[in-house]
Amino acid sequence: MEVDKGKGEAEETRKVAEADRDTVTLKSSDGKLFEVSKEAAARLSTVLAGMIAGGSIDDNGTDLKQIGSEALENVVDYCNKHANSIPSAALISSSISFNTAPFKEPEEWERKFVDRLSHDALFDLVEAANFLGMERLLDVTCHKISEMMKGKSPDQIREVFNIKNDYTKEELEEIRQELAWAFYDD
Amino acid sequence: MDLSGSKKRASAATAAADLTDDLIVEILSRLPVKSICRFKCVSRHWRGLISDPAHRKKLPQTLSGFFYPRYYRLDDARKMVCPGFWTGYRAAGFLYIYSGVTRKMVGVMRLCQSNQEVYL
Repeated sequence: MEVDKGKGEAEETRKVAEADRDTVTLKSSDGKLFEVSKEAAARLSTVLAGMIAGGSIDDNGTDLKQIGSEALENVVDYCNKHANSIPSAALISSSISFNTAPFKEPEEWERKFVDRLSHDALFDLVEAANFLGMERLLDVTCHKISEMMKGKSPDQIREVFNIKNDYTKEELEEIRQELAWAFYDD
Repeated sequence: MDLSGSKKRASAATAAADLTDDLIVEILSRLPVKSICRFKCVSRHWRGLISDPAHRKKLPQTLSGFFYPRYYRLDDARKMVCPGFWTGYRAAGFLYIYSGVTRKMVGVMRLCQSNQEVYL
C-alpha cells in the first residue's frame, strides 16, 4: 500500500487514474455533483455516450445546466439501478434493442422507481431523460404519466399540467358535442 | 450563483408547464384514442397538437381523416350515405363501407356496444 507519496507524484497518479476511472461526475444546474458509472451512462444516454467518446467529460463535474439536482439525482439513481438490474452478458443486445424494439412494459423495479416520484419530479425527469437522450427512461416516465392521465377529465388534466382553459364556454360545448363519444366511461 | 442558461421555474408553475410540445405528444401517443380525443378539450394548444398532421403518425387516430367526422345515427336505416365520400350498409352487426367514387368496398366496421350510433 502506498501511503506516503510526493505531492507531484500523487497528482500524476490521480490524473492517470481519472483518465480510465469507471465513473463520470455530472454537475446539476444548481452546482451539485453526482457520480455515475461510466458504462451505464454511456449505455443509457446517447448524449453522455457522445460526450464520453468525444472526451468532453470534465473530471471536476460535467455541467448539465438544463437539469436540476433533484432530476439529476434521479437520473443517476436510475443509471445505477439499471447497471445492477441487468446481467452483464445481456448488456450489448439490450442496448441495441432499445432503439428499434416496440415499447416494453416497465420492469418491476422501473415501476417502483417512477411510482415513488411526485408529479413535479416525474415531469422534471421526463425532461432530463429527453435532454440526455435516454430512450428507455423516457419510455418509462412517459408511460407512467400516460397511466396517470387515463380516464381523467379535461379539467383534471388541466390541473395536473397547470394549463389554463382558453376556450369560451360555447366553444367547449361545441367540441364536447362533436366528441361526445369520447366522454363515455372508459 | 450564475444561473444564466440554466433551468429556472417560477414558484407558482408546476414542472408539467415546462414540457415541450414534443414531449406532450410523446406522452399522448401512449394513450388510447378516446382519451386523446377527450383531451382536445384541455386547451386550444392541445387541440392544435392533437390535430396537427405532423403528429398524426405518432398519435393513434380515429378514421376522421377519411370520413367526414360526425355522429351517424343508424336507427332503422340500413343504408347511410355521405354524398361523394362513401355509402355504408348495415348487416348483422357490421357496417360495410363502399367508396363513393369507385363503388368498391373499402372497409368493414364491427358495430359494438351501441348498435344505434357510430362515430366515424
